[in-house]
Amino acid sequence: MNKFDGIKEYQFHDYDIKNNKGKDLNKKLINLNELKNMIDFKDGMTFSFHHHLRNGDGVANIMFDLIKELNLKDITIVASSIFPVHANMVELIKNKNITKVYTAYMSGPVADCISQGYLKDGVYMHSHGARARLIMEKEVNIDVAFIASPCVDQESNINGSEGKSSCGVLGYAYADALMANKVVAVTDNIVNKVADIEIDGNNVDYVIKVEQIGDPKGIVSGTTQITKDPLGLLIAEYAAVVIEHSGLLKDGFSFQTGAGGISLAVADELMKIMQANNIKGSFASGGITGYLVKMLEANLFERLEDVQCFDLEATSSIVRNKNHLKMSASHYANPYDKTNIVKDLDVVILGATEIDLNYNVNVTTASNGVIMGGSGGHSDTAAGAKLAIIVSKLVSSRLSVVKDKVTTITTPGESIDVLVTEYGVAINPKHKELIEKLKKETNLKIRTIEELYEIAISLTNKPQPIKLSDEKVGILEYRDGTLLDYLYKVK
Amino acid sequence: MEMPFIRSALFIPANNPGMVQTAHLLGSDAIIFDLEDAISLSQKDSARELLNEAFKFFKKDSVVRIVRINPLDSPYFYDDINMVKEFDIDFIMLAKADVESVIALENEIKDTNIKIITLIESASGVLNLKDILSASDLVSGMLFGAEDYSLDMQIERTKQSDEILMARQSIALTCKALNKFSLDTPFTDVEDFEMLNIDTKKAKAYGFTGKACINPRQVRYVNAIFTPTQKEIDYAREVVYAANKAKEDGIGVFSLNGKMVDAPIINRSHLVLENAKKAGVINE
Amino acid sequence: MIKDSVAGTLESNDVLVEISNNDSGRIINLESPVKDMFEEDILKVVNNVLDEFNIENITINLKDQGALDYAIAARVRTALKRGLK
Repeated sequence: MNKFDGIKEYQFHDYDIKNNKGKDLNKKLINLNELKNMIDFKDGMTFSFHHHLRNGDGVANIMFDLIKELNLKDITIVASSIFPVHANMVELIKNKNITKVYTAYMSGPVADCISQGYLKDGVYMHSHGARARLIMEKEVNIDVAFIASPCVDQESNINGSEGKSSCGVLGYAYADALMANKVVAVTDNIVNKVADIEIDGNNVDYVIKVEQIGDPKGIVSGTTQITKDPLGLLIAEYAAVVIEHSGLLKDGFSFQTGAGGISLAVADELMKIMQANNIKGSFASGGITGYLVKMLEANLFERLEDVQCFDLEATSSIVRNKNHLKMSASHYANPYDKTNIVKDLDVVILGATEIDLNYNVNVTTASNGVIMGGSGGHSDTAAGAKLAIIVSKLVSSRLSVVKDKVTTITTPGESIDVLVTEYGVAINPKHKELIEKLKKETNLKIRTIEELYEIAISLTNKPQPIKLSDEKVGILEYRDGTLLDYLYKVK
Repeated sequence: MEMPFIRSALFIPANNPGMVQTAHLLGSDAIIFDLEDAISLSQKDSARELLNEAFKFFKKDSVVRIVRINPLDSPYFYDDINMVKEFDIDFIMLAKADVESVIALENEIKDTNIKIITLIESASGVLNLKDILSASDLVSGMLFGAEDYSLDMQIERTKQSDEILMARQSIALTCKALNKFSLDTPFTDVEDFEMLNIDTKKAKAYGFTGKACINPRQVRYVNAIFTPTQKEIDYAREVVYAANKAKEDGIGVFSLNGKMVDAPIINRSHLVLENAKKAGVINE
Repeated sequence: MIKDSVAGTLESNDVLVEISNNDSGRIINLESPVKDMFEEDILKVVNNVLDEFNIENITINLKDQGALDYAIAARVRTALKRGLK
């Protein structure tokens, strides 16, 4: 007996083993009508889309029209975020075409509708990192992923940073592309070869070409601006002092900040300090805006790790700067992903709608329980960063950010380290050394969070507590899928 | 009388609740709640009422409270004073101050704890500064208003400020001689921080004790320049140490680093250390 | 007899107060983004000022933008003084 027995003998087959001859796109490019025949759309399916086109998105609506036309029922939507531009979902929710939603963030008519209890099987709100986990670990199984694609080439490869509808990076779509049963790329721009293969053509099943995948003005804002409010600037100044004296601001420093006015002002202050002291950081991450690009180009960081581009500065930088790197949501913040970068973050600057005496933070609901946000990367970065700093005015138009209990827990207090307000700085009591250091080395007003609460109450009076209904319309899950809190029906 | 520690004095329109209730957080040593130029004629009553309620609601902290009232030749002078004299404040700033209006004001507030800051904004104001500052014991200091002064002088107002050089220096001189504090005119280009620094350094060099600000972003720059430098603090410490030692040894006048040190220098050194402490740059 | 009058503004942290005469007691209309939380406090402030001025018949419309109690009192006071001039 020959040990090599059983191997099939070579036969000439025109050098096309798998019938891959010809351009891949030619086999996959179809129109919407054809799609209805190619995919066996059924009730109970799960569809997904990404939010990189932000409030200029035109692709999700194609999917919604399809659901309506085929009158599909009990559909689950897995959307990385939902914006006012997705208002067509409201009718589908009310008619029970869509009965379940997974998302990391929502605002506008869809959020109101879900808060009012119309979504039959409820909403599951999670962080950006948790979405990657859900998909990669197959806790949700996506039947059809609709991927808005700024640029598709002859091999069906997708690039987010090319074309008239460029959105910079498609970080939230990678998991969908890898794991969905069928992947439909919707594009308005077909080229011979993409400049960067973000999503490999092997993962794409169908390509649909449309006139415009979205409104460029809604896709990225012109430039994000730092706040002009003197109190906001003061808060940013204080936050920079905390960072400077934390012991973390040295070579190799890693940093993330949000796109809000005060968060950006912190980046601005930090830039001055880093330049003055010749500090070279390792990476800045996020949600990238022009301010972080400025810091990269001033050589203050070795690289930017970008999961989404917020403005034109970022989308153009990602093309011209070799060290402005694209990353997937999983690589960003999936706690099950061994390469996740949030675990390596030194400092993150975050906002808050509410924060309570245990440092729990709410960025999901308003005080009356209406959904108007969501974790996004909030609970991910807070968990990973050595120093998670909340920047917020303490009192604004009679509303205090500090409450005795938050309406909804988006990020648990154990992962929140510092609160910086115009009335002073509160530090999580577990950081005894940091508290002493700041008291000794700076002129900052270091207060307990209870003291800040008292100051707020002395200004506004104690608010009447708002009673939430008992009817649950959704849940907030933590990064690992465990239950953090419930969302309740609002009138 | 002890000189108040005012490196920066920030103007705030008195009719704006959002600004009135947070002004004390912005880092300036003093706030000037303005009832004059910042308030339209139809809202003078509203502004007074808002300040009235605000000063009752907010307890005084370390930030110096100044209220700028309308001048004697306006219909609002007495209405302003009638309300403002009841306020828990430190100073009334008198616009278009002259000897007559200072005396009129003194008459109204002499039974309160409120002192007077004269706003000097005309040729005659600068010329008669000595008399104006001496018109009442309640006058503690002054603010120079260069915009109105240049209008009165019919000269062009520039960023270089050469045109107000003599006025500034004579003001600083007169105030120092009469032991009154002197606040320099605000720098009006709120986006130009480079020139703000240059202008403020000039004010300090001429001998002003502080400067007015018209935008919160100017405050940190002005504070920094009027805060004693490490060099000044170190020298002051040396002087005080040597003075204490000399006192122990029964010596009056002594020399330090080859320079003669007498009482005025020792007093000034104490003041520098006092101010450094208030500014938060030293602990003891 | 109270004249129609207005005080305050629609800016953040302020309240626009409009008053006019009526014969049927105190009618207070409050529009506020924080009505759920502070309606009682706001009405208390308004009524206190009305008590001070001894006013039993008046219509007051308040368009609030998160004003604190002291600012509400100031604006109501100003409106009343203007109305009584």
